[in-house]
Amino acid sequence: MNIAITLSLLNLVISIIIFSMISKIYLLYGRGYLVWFLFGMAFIPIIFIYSIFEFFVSSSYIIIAYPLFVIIMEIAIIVAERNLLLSIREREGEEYKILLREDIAMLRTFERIANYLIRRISTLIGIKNIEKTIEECIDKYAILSGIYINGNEKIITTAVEKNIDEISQDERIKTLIEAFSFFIDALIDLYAAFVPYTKIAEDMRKEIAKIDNKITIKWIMPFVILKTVIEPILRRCKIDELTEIRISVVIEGININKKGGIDIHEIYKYEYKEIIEKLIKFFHRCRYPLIRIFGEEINKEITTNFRLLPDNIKEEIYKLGFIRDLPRGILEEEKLTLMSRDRIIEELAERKRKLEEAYKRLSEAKLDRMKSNFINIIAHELRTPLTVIKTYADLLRYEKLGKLNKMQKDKLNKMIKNIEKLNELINDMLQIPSIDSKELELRRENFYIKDLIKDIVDELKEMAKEKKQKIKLSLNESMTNGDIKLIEKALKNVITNAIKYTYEGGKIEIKAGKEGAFTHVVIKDNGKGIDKNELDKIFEPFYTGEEGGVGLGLAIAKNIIESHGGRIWAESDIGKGTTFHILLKEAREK
Amino acid sequence: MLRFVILLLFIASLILPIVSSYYFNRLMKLIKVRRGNILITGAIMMLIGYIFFMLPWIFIDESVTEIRLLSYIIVLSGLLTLLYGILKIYLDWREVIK
Repeated sequence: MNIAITLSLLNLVISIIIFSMISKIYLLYGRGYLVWFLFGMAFIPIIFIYSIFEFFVSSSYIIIAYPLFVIIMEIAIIVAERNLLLSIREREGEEYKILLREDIAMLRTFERIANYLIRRISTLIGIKNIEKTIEECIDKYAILSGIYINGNEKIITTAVEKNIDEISQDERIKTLIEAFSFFIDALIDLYAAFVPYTKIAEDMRKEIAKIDNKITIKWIMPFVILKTVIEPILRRCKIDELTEIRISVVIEGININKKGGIDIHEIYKYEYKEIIEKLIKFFHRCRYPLIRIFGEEINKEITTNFRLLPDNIKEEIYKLGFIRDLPRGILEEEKLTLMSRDRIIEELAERKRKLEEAYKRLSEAKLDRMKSNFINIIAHELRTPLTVIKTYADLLRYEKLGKLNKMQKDKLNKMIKNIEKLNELINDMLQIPSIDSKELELRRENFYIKDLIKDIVDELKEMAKEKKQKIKLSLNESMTNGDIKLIEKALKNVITNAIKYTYEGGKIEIKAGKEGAFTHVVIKDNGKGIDKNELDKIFEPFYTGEEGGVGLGLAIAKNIIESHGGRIWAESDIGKGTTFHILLKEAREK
Repeated sequence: MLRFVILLLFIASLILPIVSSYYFNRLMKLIKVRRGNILITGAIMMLIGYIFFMLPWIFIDESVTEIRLLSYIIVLSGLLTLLYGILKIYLDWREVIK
């Protein structure tokens, strides 16, 4: 009992999932027949709910509900299937375009064209003669066997649907188009015996314009071109003229008969690419005999016939782009349009590329700005509380708030030292160009670079000593103009960097001297060097090497040097070391 | 009398799937999306489960727990097959309608 209820519950859950999935499909596509499926499938969960309820009722009548539910469910499904079938069969049906198989859609199209022709021919020659033609076609193409004309003078091709299934899937479309182009051709020949061919071509264009299945359009296109563009011209030719054309145009798969009709069905034995090649070849070969017969004007007529083609066929022609290969004088304007279309496409692709590049640059710039704003805010916001902390720390240090023991004093000094470090870092951050867009305020004065460098080296001597490095100075007299404090900072940053990235026992050379209107400072180390691809990046804020750090030193140095109208750059060889060059404007007067 | 009514309804519910399969076969010959075999398998399994469920009522006028369990299991596999088929159709249709 328990197992049965569990299984029943499990079935109920799965049936609810199925029902909700069909509901989703219905909500997505909103097809009418799905309502019936939905209605039918709703009975499965109902049955399982009922079965759980049935466990607790002892009456034997309760069993009647099961077959009743199943019957209702089956009827709903049958109605849904019938509606879907109608929807696929009818050309106006909502599923015709979406779900109908390509070969069946093609068959329907041929059926419609054939019926259109039969309607017109039957009044002229009677159904019997058409039936004879059909028999001849069936003899040639077995796939057509079983087609017949019913009492309403309509051709019925249901048998072909079965015949198709016996052919391999890849061959179905080709076999169909070959057989039906032969059949339609035969009907056209019958019709042409009574009606001027120009009228037939016009009728064909109207019928072809109704085709909306892409595969059918693709395959019928060569047939339509030959039948409506060239055949109306050939039909006007005399027998000897046609003989001349036939001799000039010998292409396997395309035959011109004695009446000027073009038999094209055999061309469908070839691959699609070959068909198009043959079609173009046909135009080239029949061009000269036609010009000889009708004069240069014939090109205009062919062009006009091309332009009269239905839009769906024209779209296919444009898509394939084969009009470029048509002989000179035919569709010249269209060829130009096609060429300019290609150019436009190229130009658009180029513009798209540029736009993408610009967008990328813009987003990078935006990101940089956001980063700068963020750091700017952080730096300013940190500075205020830090000043307050420093003030109270100083008050404590000078024992304005009470006596401190030795240990407290030691710890307090460490604290103050770190506050100063933090303050320095914040000041550094605010000096990066991208962070503080304002120009640096310079307090310019004249000073000897030699003295300044000596002072810096004195200060950093201990740091170099720790790494057993030697600093060699070669400094000439050169008076520089600028903010001495800022330039000191810049030089200090570069020299510190050199010490930091040079191995223990390494050598650092600092040279300074006049070079035209500039003072040239060279800081050379024999450290591990920087990769050439990285050289541009080292002056970017927050760029750090393997040694770590905040990555602001060189960015600040660059900002300071450039604010003074100077220049800073680096040269490096991996394994040999890095050389920094700094150019600073010389003082105008001593 | 009750058994007769049940038998009649049961026969009717067995004839309708034949009609349904006729339409279904015709549909499958025309349609691009081919998941018919999965749906047919699911439906047949469910029908077999239903037949198993009904047979004791028709022959002995009462339910047999073992057969009932068996029918539930068969229906469960049918439902799972159907679920798989519908899922496939849903995915296929999404491609076709795109």
